[in-house]
Amino acid sequence: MAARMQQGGRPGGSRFAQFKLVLLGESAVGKVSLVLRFVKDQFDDYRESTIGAAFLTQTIALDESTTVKFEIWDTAGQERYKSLAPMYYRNANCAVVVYDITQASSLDKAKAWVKELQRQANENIIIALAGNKLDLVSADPTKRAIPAEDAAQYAREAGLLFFETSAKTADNVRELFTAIARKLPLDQAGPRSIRSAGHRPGVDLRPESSGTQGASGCNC
Amino acid sequence: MSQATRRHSLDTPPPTSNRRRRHSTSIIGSQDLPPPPPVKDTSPIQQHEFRSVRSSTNLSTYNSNNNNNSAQQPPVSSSPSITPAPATRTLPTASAPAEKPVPRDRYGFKKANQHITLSVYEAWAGSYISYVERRRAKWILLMKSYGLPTVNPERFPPKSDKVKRYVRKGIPPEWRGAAWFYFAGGPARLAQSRGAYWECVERARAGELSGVDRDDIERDLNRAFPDNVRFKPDAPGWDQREADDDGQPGETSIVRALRRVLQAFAVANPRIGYCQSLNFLAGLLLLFLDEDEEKAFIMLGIVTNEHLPGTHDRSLKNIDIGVLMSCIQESMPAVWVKIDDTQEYGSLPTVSLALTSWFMSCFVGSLPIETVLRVWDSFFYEGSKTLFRIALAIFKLAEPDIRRLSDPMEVFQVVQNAPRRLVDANALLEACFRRRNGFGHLSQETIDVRRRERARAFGAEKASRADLLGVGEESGAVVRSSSRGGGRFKRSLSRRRAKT
Ligand SMILES: Nc1nc2c(ncn2[C@@H]2O[C@H](COP(=O)(O)OP(=O)(O)O)[C@@H](O)[C@H]2O)c(=O)[nH]1
Ligand SMILES: [Mg+2]
Repeated sequence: MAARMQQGGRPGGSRFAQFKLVLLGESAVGKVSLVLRFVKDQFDDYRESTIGAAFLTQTIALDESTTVKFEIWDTAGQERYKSLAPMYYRNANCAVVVYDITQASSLDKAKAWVKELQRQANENIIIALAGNKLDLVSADPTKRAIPAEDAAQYAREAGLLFFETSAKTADNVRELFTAIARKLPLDQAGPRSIRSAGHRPGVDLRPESSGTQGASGCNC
Repeated sequence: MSQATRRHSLDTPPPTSNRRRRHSTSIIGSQDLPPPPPVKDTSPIQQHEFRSVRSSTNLSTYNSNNNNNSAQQPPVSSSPSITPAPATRTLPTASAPAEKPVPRDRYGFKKANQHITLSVYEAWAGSYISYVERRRAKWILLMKSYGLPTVNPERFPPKSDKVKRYVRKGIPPEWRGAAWFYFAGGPARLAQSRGAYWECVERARAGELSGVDRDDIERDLNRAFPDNVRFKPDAPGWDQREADDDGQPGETSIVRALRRVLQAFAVANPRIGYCQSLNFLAGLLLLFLDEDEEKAFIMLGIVTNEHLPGTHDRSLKNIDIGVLMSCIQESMPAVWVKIDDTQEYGSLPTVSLALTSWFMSCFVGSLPIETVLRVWDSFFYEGSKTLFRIALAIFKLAEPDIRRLSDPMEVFQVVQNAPRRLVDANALLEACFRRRNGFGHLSQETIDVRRRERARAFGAEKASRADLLGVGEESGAVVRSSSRGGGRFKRSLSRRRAKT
């Protein structure tokens, strides 16, 4: 779903915008962990593999008058899910492509995702590259498989935001999402988003849903 | 048991005394006697039967601690009941500090999780325990009426309406794995392919396993059941070992067994290889088949080839989800209206992304564990129609919520999260099979016909999508020459393919 925004929809003329964000990257690089750090400020050393996709939301205040709600799609990383990928990233406003700085091959996979996004996804999609598991390298520099400078250079060339992150220690996680929010076209985002434009009538796209956390929304 | 156990104990030496005890006394003769009165904690999945799934001493220790939640679990190594073999006790596991013991069910799963609080769990468990006891008593009578043993049974009554009803109401936990194996047709498969499993284990070792599959498996071993004590103990335990050529440091025996089963399966099923979600299927099978790897391997083959053909293939087609969508459209139009964004997006609504795991993992991770087990009881007895019926029942139970919502993403969250709270397994099964507004009428025939239609549609769609997206062709054939069963489905598919 594309950005939906209400100008002055809340007291004090504050702005509220909603964006779809998709996480991509090889299996086990830490996608789910980054999301859970961002949304719930939690980290587990062990958690179940993601099958298909999971959906969560998180709202952040950019400044006193601007609130951004991310609709976050976490995806399974395995190659065979690739045929579903267009379903994840259709109408995505932004993407976080994750690799693991201790696994050389994971950056290649990330580059492939970037390429696919730039070819197939929304024209104006904001893409951030996240080199995750920074804590492992801080603890033991020999574990680093991808020099930060290499990735940074690639990110510059490809026009991506770039952060090295740790879902475990929370390093740069909030920074990553905030930087994305700042880069999103808050001013152009309007209620006639791509999605609502083509949507069948009768469906009310309320910009603000009652629950903002993934776990809310149902009491059964 | 023989070959698997022998081979396994070759691969996995020490905890010998424990291991042997497990096989000789694991069922502790509880079936013929009324269960001992519940201790303090009356959770149904706690108590004595905990041992039936695994009667290792450290778990009993764990369990008795658990019965008194306030008691700190003593370090396993100092427990008098533990006699760890020397090689098994040195384990510097990174994540096993002295944490407070977590309340666990009889299978070793944490009772509470992010979707179910401990009090919600206990409120349900209080009455479920007596339900399970009542059902067990009935099963014992049933078994006796067929002259079948009630201790470690390996055979079960022939299929009938009565037995089907009994299965739907729940197989006694300590017989569950054996009953799954029996009703799914495991014994005949085992007789045909004895030894095939260990051959595949060897082939995987000898280099037939692709690097990608090997890596994907490694990444998923610790991500199968991190909330189960046998996959991830709270403290270093007797069955964790140091690194050797058979595994990583700190792995429990079941994690090593899981690796072998997944690797062997990938070698034996090149069209599938390793698919995420097989870690859940194989892990749960191992847990309930007392780590009999050969049986787990056979069951995994039955699930993926017979019941869910194509579902785990290297090129995913989501045929089952398409079939489910057509069923929803028919039986719950008010729900369909809320989830249908196909005009906008194409063949499958976005909500499909929340459903992949329902089929691929057979609800592991999507439903609470006891509910999954109850679904699997019926699944292995009745076949894949059970998964569709249960999926429809989930939507039915969530229908009031779904109808109230208008934002498609909120609907998505309901579909994603509602099943995770369905701790009341009886309520779900009742909604599934009740006469009025239930889904017991949905036949396997209907499902298989629709699967064929979807497979055909998929072929056409893929052809055009491949042009559009440059998606790599991965041979979309659903036919598995090596598989048996479901023959009609496959034959007609191959005929169709031959034509095109
Ligand atoms: N040390 C460390 N481990 C991490 C970090 N992020 C994720 N992990 C671990 O890496 C594994 C895979 O993470 P997960 O989030 O499931 O990966 P995904 O498959 O990309 O969603 C898990 O065992 C995590 O605990 C991190 O920042 N630092
Ligand atoms: Mg994940």
